[in-house]
Amino acid sequence: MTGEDMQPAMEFRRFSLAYRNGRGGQPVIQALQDVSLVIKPGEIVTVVGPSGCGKTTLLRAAAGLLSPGTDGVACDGSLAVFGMAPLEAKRKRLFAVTFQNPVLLPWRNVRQNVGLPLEIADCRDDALVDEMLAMVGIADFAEAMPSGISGGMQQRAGLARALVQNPKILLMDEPFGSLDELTRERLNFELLRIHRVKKPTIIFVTHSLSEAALLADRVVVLGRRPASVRKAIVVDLPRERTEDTLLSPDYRNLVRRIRAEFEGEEGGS
Amino acid sequence: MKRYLPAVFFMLAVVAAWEFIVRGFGIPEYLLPRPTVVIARLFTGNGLLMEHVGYTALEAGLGFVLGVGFGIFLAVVFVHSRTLELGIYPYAIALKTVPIVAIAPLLVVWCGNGLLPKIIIAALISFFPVVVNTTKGLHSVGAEAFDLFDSMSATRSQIFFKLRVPSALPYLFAALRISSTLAVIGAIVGEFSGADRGLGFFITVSSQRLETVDMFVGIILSSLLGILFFCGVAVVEKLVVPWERGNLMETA
Repeated sequence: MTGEDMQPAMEFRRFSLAYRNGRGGQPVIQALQDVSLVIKPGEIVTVVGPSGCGKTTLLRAAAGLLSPGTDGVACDGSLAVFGMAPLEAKRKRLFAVTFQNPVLLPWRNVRQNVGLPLEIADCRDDALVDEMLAMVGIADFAEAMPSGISGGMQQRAGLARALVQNPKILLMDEPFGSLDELTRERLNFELLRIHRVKKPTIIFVTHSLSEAALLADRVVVLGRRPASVRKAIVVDLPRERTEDTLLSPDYRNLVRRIRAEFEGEEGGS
Repeated sequence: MKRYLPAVFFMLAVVAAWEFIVRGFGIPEYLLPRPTVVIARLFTGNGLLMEHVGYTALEAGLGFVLGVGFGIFLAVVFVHSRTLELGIYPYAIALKTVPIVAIAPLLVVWCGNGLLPKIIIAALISFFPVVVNTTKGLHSVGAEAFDLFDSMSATRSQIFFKLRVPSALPYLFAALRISSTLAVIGAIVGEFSGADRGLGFFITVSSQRLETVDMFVGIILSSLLGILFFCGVAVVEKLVVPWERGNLMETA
């Protein structure tokens, strides 16, 4: 998975984004300022930063959910996804997104929710849906309605719905943020296991520093709004993360380093 | 079934008290008839009574369908055109403040004594809850759900049919419950203003003849008809919106 000439999965070059108030209006909020970041295919990048700093904006821009011109959004610099504009990459269905809330449709059972992207793309594949349900460990709940399963199960379903799209890039916005710590940890390991099998590029926004450290090849610490990359910390832990990783001194040092960056940012500057 | 026992007992107690008070104080029948007399009339009343019920049910039913259909149509238009919504919605709401009783005589002038004015009144009265709630329902989709569909490159029609419409259904049914009983009231109000058939006509005529027993029969049948409409909607709702456990139903 190396090689200088490999096309980056995602490339931000001095990318800035502002929300404007109507056409031709003054910039109201400068959300991102000169973000530069190159993400390799198959890499897991976790993004941390002060709350409200623009993490979600970064992810939505990457996913092609915020496009210049619409929603009063103005961009500067460049953002490319496998050499394409995010909108084009979205049309080619290179992305899958998971959200803070699992956003399961309450009128569909788990199986129908997971199958939704295939339905939208007009290529139903029941076997694939079943495979993904099994992969995230909710095969037994396939017929359950979302309201009848726990928050952890709902997030698993959300993850399965993302995986069923066979995304090249998985964009995850604090997906496990509302779960208890044990469930979150279990899902982190599940995610890593799935990553070993399917090797998507993952951009994972979180406010948990320990989660950021556990998952990442690189941890990106964003500065306060307007967000820019304050520091990208390369994680030198072995790729194979286990529960022992959580106990290792290297891991703790890493969390400490992230915290130092993070607090340096929150404290002042 | 146990849940309903207290309600049944309560009703029996009230009816029994009514019966004994009327007997005990010797209240004349033209003022307040005994419940047993009313019930007896209800069952021995001639076939004409059922014809009145059927006629009112037809007016209310057609009006309901018409009003609901137009309400849904307008809500869909509003969701597709912000301009039309801003332009028309306030008047749709303002029109609601016009008492339906005041419009009824005018409609009789315009459309005569037949079926049509009653249908229009029933439609008008059942229209408002539907347009308000369906518009609200179609707008009720959260930003994240839109992002989800956007991220999957869903088309506009997919977003509409797979996201907006199912989201709006609980709101729509909350409105249908209200509209169903309103439609019956609308039809009867229409009949008050001029009719030769129907429950409203039956009640008016009974009133003029001081046939209090018949008036009670008419009133009971009117509310039974309303309850029937309401239950019809509730049954359809259970089939169409099984995922809602009634938590949205108290709104509107």
